[in-house]
Amino acid sequence: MMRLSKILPLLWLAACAPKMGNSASLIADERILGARADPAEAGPSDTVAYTSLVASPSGTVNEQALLWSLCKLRKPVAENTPVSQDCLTEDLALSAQGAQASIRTPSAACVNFGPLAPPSSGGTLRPTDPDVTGGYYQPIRLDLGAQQAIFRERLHCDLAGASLLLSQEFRASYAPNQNPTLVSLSALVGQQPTSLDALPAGERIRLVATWSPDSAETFPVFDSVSQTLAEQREALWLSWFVTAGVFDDSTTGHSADDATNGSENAWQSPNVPGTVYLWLVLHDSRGGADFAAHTLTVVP
Amino acid sequence: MKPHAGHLALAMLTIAPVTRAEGHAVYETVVIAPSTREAGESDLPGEALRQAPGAQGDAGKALENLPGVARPALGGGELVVWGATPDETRIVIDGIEIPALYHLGGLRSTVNTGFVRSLSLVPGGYGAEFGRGLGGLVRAASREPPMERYQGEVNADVLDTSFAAGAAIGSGGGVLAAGRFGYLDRILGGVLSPDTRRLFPLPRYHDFQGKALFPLRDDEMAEVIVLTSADSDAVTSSSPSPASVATQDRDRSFTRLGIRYMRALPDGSGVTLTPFVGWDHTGQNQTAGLALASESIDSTVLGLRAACVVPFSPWSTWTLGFDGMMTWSTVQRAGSATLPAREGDIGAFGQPISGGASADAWNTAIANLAPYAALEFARGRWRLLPSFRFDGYAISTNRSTPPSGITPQVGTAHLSWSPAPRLAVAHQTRSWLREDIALGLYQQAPSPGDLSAVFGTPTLGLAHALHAVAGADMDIGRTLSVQPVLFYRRMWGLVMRNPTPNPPLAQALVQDGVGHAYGAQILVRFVPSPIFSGWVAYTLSRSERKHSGDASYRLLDEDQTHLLTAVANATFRGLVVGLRFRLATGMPRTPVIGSYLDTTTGQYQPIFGAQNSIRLPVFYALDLRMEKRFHVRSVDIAPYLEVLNLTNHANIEEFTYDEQFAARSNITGLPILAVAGFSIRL
Repeated sequence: MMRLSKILPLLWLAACAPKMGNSASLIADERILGARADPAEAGPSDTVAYTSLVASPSGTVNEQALLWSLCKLRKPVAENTPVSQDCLTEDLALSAQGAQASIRTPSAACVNFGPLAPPSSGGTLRPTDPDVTGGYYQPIRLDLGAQQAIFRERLHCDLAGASLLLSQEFRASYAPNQNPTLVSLSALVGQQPTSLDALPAGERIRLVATWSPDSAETFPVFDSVSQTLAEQREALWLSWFVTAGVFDDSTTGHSADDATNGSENAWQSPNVPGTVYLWLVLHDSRGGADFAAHTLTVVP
Repeated sequence: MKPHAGHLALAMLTIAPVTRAEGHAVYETVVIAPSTREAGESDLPGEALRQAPGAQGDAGKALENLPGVARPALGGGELVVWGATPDETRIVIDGIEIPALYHLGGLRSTVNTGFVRSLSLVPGGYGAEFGRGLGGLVRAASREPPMERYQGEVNADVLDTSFAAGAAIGSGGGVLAAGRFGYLDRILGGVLSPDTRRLFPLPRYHDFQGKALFPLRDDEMAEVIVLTSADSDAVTSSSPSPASVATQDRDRSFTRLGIRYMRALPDGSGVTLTPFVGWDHTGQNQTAGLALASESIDSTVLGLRAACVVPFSPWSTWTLGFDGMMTWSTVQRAGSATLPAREGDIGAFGQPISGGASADAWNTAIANLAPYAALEFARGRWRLLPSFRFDGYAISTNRSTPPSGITPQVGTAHLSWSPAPRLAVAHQTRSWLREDIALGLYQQAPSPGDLSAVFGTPTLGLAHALHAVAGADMDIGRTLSVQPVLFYRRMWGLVMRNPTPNPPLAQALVQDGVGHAYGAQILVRFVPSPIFSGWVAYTLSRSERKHSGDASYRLLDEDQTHLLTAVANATFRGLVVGLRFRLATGMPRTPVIGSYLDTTTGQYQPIFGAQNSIRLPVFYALDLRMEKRFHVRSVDIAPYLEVLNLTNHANIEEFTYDEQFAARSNITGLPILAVAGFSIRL
């Protein structure tokens, strides 16, 4: 029986799709931009320190009203979203409040959201599917007024479905994820390096962000069908946010097979001189993150 | 052509003796539609297939003009009949089942018009000789090879070039071949900008049909039939971020090789036998940011259709038959459990794809063996056709649990027996009025792709449907015919995704889906003069589905309440002008009522409202076809021009959202578009 994807007809139409703009890049109101966990990958019962990034048109906000709530609801297989929709709509027990939080990972995290099957009296239940990096994630909901975000803490769980030998090999070769590290941001007008304190108004400016060479880690991924381990390298991408001006792209980055330690974006600076706040959020494909805030000065 | 004494009727097949000028008796296979038309059946014979406006001379596309057929999504190319999903409708050519009527993208059908004598659509309530599907039935009958010398035709337009050629061989024998080669990707590939090419999946396709007719004895003939089709397309939506790149490539092919043997005995009885073998392949790879999905299904098909007709009395005829098909499939799949999407999935255009990255490889064998019997009882004004089909299914997979370490894999197999009684009754109330009713039970086996221990459920069984159809056929004078039909279809045991957050192992799909489709349609045909003809088809329908435990039904993803098609053709001095107007209710969509930031990827995800609770706006379009025929010596030359969406109406084909799912916009379909081509016939 032949089944056709419903996606393709939609892609057909994309030629006639309107350009919706990079709406996510412009900070017009107070907004959650990202969060980071230390460590970036934690085992059950580990305590993890979380840091949020909340931005507003007047700069970074040390938001004490931010609520952190662990979601223990599993996502149905039928839902094509990273977490269960119920994590957004249900009342969840508050785990912490503030711009930073320290939360203990549930002891059953690898059962609820990992490769271990949940207990059941009526037969074995389906474990959670890993993502393409072999990762499992404990969702944490962030509430800021009516605004919601989901942070997914990468779980360090044992390998399931592998032979003993392969499990040992995996354990020996797998290093828990580390957050990537942003290093610098520089600007070029034409080919000319320009200080972030003196960027010309109404100009198209190339912004170049770099990260440390060890940000893109390599790690083994288990293939359950061939019962083998394959080595993968992390992909890295940047989300760009700004309080004025327009970026060409809201996210830029490099795939796993590109070892470039940086990414650039074009920014059309505002016509009106003044102070502009810019934030970078660097993501790696195993759920790690880093962020940086910069103050730009636009001059006539 | 009407049946008469001397014809052997085997359902829709008739072997009619034809005498050539040289005096040799040969046999011609003729499809008889009107006199044996089933309740709700619509047919498109002969030139109607070629000259349907908006179909670019394509037989399968012309089917979209019939009542009960929903307008497919632009570029979708899927057949939704009376609220049944595309994979619930069966397509049969000369008794051989094929897996797809349309090439990828839906621009062309997989069988050339030059190979098709007639095409009929039975949306429901068909007889016991067909099964394996909960929805409708498309039956195509191939043309016969020429009875003298040779004939041929070539058609070309901006999409593709096709040919059909035939020749008489020996005494009563002949061959017919048709094929098509698509080059849209080559033409537009050099015209479209690189950005558009990244978004617009230009399909590449070709197909071939062949038939060789061998007369055996005077009352006996055999045909060898070959049907092949192959498609591929690819699309890439580029992004400077690896989290936003989307690619998709698909390929699909099928081959059928069959032999049809027919014999008409002097006592009026007869037999047909159609064994066939086939090979199918579907493959698709999708990436969306960090998510990926790939699926590959390779199948070998073995089928046998047999029927024996025995006159029992002057007013009754028995048909005993067998319809069997076995499919062995090798399936490989990796990636998200929610890709490929299936009916009932909630999503929004532009939504980042998430989900897991599992993998599975499995083999399946699905056998359907169905003996059937039908009694045709025709006396006076009544025609009664009770039939009974006994469907036996054997479904097996080689893996009942997900792969795990060195644990040996254990398969699963089960047998299902399911009676499928059917009844059709027709009453000729007046010379111009006939009423029909049809009832029947139908079954469908799960798809091989659904029998995975990781992505599906290996123990899935049969889905069932009850069809009830009531209609009338009114011939008012010689210029007008009216066919109103009421229909109801009840379905249960439908395969759906497991909605629970804690499904048992190897039960990602459940078989608790129920659904119904009901409505009414009317087809009005008019031929007021030899130069003018047309028809109006209107369907009012509703199709809904749910899990059996759900409180309320939701609309089928492809539900369309109103479908109106009006077609008019005028012929004058070799010039054929046709107009088609289509109006269709927009398909249901699930509203986005909010969004949240997934900080792990930096992408926003939608929060959905009630499933399928809003619709796309109403679609309407006016299409024009003009064809002028020239006769030069023994050659017919016919250039044609089709103008699609003559009024340039901006039909909204999809909703799209900004990155934060805060603002909604529209994706519009084709603007006014001209397609030119020509046909040369010998």
